[in-house]
Parts: sequence; C-alpha cells; structure tokens
Amino acid sequence: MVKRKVRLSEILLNSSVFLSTTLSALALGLIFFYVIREGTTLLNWELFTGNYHSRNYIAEFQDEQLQNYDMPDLSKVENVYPVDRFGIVLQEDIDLAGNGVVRVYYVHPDSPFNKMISKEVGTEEVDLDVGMIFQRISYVNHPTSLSRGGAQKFATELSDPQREVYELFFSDLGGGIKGSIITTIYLIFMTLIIAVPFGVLTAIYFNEFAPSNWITKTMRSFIETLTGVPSIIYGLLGITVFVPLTVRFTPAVNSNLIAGALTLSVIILPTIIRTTEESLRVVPDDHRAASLALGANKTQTTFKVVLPQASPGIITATFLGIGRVIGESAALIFVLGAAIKDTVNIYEPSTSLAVHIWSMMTDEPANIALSSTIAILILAIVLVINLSVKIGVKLLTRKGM
Amino acid sequence: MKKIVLLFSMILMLTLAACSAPVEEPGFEAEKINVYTRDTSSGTRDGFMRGIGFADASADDSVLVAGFITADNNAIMSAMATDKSGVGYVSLSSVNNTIKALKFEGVEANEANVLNDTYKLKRPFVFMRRVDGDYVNDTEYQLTLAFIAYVASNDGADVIANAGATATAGTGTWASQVANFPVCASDNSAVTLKFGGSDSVQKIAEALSAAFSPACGNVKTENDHTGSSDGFKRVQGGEKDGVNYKHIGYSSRFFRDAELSGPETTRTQMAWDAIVAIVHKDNPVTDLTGEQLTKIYKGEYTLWGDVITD
Repeated sequence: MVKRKVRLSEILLNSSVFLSTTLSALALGLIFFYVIREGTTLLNWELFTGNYHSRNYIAEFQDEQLQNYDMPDLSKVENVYPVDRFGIVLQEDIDLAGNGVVRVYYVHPDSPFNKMISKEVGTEEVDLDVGMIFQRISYVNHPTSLSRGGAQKFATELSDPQREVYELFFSDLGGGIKGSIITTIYLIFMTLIIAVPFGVLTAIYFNEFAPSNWITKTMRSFIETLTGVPSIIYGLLGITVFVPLTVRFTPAVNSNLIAGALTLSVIILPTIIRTTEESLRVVPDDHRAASLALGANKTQTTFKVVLPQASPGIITATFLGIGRVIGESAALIFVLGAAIKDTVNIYEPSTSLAVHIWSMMTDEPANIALSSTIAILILAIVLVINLSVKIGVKLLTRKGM
Repeated sequence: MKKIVLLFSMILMLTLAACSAPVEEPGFEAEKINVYTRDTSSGTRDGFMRGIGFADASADDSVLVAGFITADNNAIMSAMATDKSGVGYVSLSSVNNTIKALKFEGVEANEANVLNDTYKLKRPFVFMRRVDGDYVNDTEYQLTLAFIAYVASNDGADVIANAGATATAGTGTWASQVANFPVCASDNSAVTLKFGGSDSVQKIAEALSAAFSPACGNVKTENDHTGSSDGFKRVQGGEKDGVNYKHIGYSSRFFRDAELSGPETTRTQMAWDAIVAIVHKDNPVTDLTGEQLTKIYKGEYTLWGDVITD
C-alpha cells in the first residue's frame, strides 16, 4: 500500500515535468509562430533601408494640354488604373508600413506630370517619378480626390474632363525603419563603450581588491538587487539626471541619444558587474599564487593573468548587455522620446526599434503587421548575438587552454 | 423481472420525450453577452463611455461588468469577427466588413452624420499651442500660428479626412491664406516645430506635419506622441520648459478643467472621431441606444434576449 503511494507521486512528478516542458515549449513556439505569420508580409529589404517620413511635394501643372497618350499594355498587371488624359497609370499598393496608398505605376514622357511647377519655397520645377505616392489632388470647384478612397476612385476622378486640376500633393514612399535601426546601433555601441569598462573594473575591484567585510557584502547585494529593478525607474533617473546633464554640457536641447545611452549603461551595469565577477571567481587561486610566486605584483597578476582567463565571461556579459539594450523600451520613452527619425543625431531625440513597436501599437488602428516585422528583426538580432556568444566563448576557451 | 425493467425504461423514455418536446433549441436570445472594452488609458474608451452616458466607467474598471479588457483596437476587431455574442467598440476609421457596425440611437455612423451632429457617439481631436510670448523666437511663434491656420484650411481638412477622421469644415484653401503668413515665404528648413500629446492622433498629426512642411518653407517637424495628458503638460503645463517641451500638444478628448489655464485662443478643435459599437456579423441586433449600451456595460443586461425584447 505504501509502495503504491510513492509510485503515484512519482508518476505525478514525472508527468508534471513533461507537461510543463510541453507547455513552455508550446507557448514560446506560439510566439514565434504568431510573429512570423503576422510579420512576413512586410518583410523586405526596402523596409530596413527606407525612410519613415516621406518627403511631400506640392505642385501645379505648367500647362494642362489635353491629349490622349499611347499607354502601355496593362492587361497582365492587377490593380492598375490608367488616366488617359494625363498619360499616367495609378496602382493600388501598400507603403513600407503596410498602409494602403495610391502609387504611380507609369508616367508617359510627354505627360504634364513630367513638367510641373513646384509651389514650395526655393524650388522651381518638380516631376512625378514612378513609385511615388499620391496624397491628394485638389480641383477648381470640385471636392478634393483623397488617396483614402483607393486608386480606382482616384483615377476615375482624375479622368473626369469636368475637373480642372488645381494643386497636386504627392510624396515619396514612406514607412521605413532605417532611422530606428541606426538609433539602435548607436545605442548599443555608446552604451557598451560606457558600461563595459566601468563594469569590468568594478567587478575586478570586488573580486580581487575588496576586503571581505560587511561593506563589500552590502554593496554586492545592492548591485544584485539593482539587476531586478524595473527599467522605468532608471528612466526616471535618466530624465532627472542624465537629460539635464547632457543639455548642460552638450549642444543638445532636449532628450537625446547620449542621455539614452547613459541611462542604458546604468541599466546594464549590474548585469556586467555580476557576470564578470562570476567569471573572475572561477579563475583558480593557484594561478594567482603562481603569478605572485614568479615575482609579479598584484596589479600585474590581476590584469595579465586573471583578466585574460575571465574574457569569455566578459564577452558573455557584453552580449547580455546588448540584448538588454535592444529590448529596452520603457526607460527610453522618457530619455530618448518616441519621435521616429530618419537622420539620427546623437544630440537629438529619436527612437529605438523596441520603442518603434510601441509607437506602432499605440497608434489607432494599431499596426500589428509592422510591429511583428520589427519583432522578427529583433529576434533575428538576438539569435545572431546568442550564436556569436557561443562561438566566441568556444574560440576563446580553446585558445586559453 | 424483465417486465419491470421494460416498464421502467418505457416510463423513462416517455418522461424524456415529454420533457424535451416543449424545450426549443436555445436561440440567440439565450446567448450571454460578452463585453469587450479598451483599457482606461484609451481615448476611445473615454469617448465611448462619455458618449453613452456612463462617464463613471471612463477611468474605472470596477463599475463595469466582468468582461475582456484589452489594450488594443485590433484585439477588439478580431474578437468581434469570431465571438458571436460579443459586443465592443472601435473608432469609425477602423470599421471594416469583418464585423457589423451598429447604429447609435438609430443614426448610422458616417462622416455626414458626424458633421451634422446627428451621430452623437464621438470624441473630439483637439490641440493647444504654447501661450503668446512663450516661444524661443518670433519665427517659431509665426510658424506655429501658420500651422494652426493650415489645419483649419481646406487643405488641412483634406489631410485629416485622408488620415481617417472627420475634419471640421475648412476655412478656404491654404493658397488663398498663405499670404497672411509671410513667414511661410522664407526658407524655414533650419527651424523644427515640435508636436506631441495623444498617441491615437499620431497618424493624423504626422500627416499634417508632412503636408504642412512643403506648404510653409520646408519647416522641419518632429512628432513625439506619448498620450493625451502630455498634450497639455508639455505645452502649457509643468513640463512646458522641460526637456520634452512641444509647440503643439494634441489630445483625443476635450481638455480637462485643470488644463484650461491658458487663454481660449490657444486651443483648437480640428476633427471628430466617431466611435462605433460593433458586434459579430451574424448578430441580429442593428441598433443600440446609449441607455442599452450603458446597461450592457454595467451588467444589467446579461443576455442578448434582454436587449432584443427591450
């Protein structure tokens, strides 16, 4: 009777082990599945290299001669709508962020769209290129054609001989995430340049130099606590300390990339200190003793014998830090802002990839497709980082042995 | 013995038949109402709850019936596409043919009805500028005034309509007004106008910025949207001289009493956003009143039958 009871609990334990594993694997797998299913539609190279903000143009016709142009054969292309009276073809398409747009598919060389007068300050002439987007066209005494109505309606209204074109509003293709990628790269490098030296040197102090007393112990447990502090608290620190500091000493006038990097440095510092210290601790004391016995002093021993052996741990710490930088969003909304930029300046606000997702999701309606695409990019970067940590550590340990 | 068993089973069968005969298949009336709502930070929720006359629920979940609270418009849309007995609400610009949009108090939600004020379930898109004399230089002040005039013009109204909201009527073309703003005739590409506030107007605000730039000397624009309450805070409130100051702050609700410290002339309403109650396509209900919606969200109506027989 007693034996049977033990067996039952063992079966329960074992089955709960398997069940939990299956559930965890399923949950993680589902996230991947969801993100990849939603995000692949927008996944293309142009999204990563394209501008978010499209350059807008305002123009009017030089002379509106009405003639019919020979148009290309459109029978094989879907969703295109020719406007014979101006010699252009419009296409129903989506921009890089997945929003519906009216795109220029073809412009006849003699079309009035190829010689328009710009209504902007400082520019004289402007012409419409294939691939550009129509925002709207206003007419004399007729309601404006809006791109929201779709390419077909737009083309029909433009074809109407009753309508005299007044002004044309068009733009480049927008919605790319180039600026956010660049910001993220800047953030990674600036954060590491600040945090890694400080973190490693602090770890060396704690493991090699610090006396073993209650002050050291308290400081160590403080640092351990800091690894678990929610990042939004560091964001508060950033906006009250780092942003005013950078405004005071750099050309920056408001939240900026340097303040962002400083804040992130503080966020990843505890992780770097902890991980480095772990790897310093496993360096055998024999090596220290041997080095000291050979006549090297404490400093030489630390930096020439102990530190090189701890380098795999430092690399791991660095890459863990990179992962944290890529994933951080809450603190950055405070110190870096949520303004999406195309040209990134370290003295100005901009947006990292994670905050870009936040911006896309708080929009109404939320852009889930683009968010998932950015998520795929982030997952890919984290995967590459993890693999390179493994390979790097393997190479280093082989060399060290 | 066998006879007794046979008798019993016959009696059992008869009673079963008798019982099942009058009970019909449970129809739609017996379906429980599944309530979906946005979280309290949402401007859409604030607009909806105020619109149906249940303002207490705009920032308080505890007065609501137990339901699904979601931080995402799309989640409500996809829930209504699958949940046959659900009810939720979204912005008019989100409505598509995967769900069924309900009339409110008998009025259909469309642009014309929003503008002529017969469709009442709507929220305003407003913005405020910095007060006079609180600008770094006169160029920024003039550009801010020009932007406000641009938003009010026909061109601004077109941009707003194109971005999915219902613009208030335009004041004529921008081309006919630009002469009033000599600042727009010079090259402003070295100046940056900063916009912030509500994140639900982000798309409209970005479209306005992009359209305004070439219309006024290619002025640079920066849209940093972090929520309606920052619309006042970073323009006229406590953070107006802070590092995240803005020239224009948007809000997807009317400014609250505490936010009305500046002069009336600094605040403008640019558009309406109609909010639509939505249900599954197979739901026979076509029209709900504010009172019915309030009762549904309070939990006084729990079955669709309560709504239909009402």
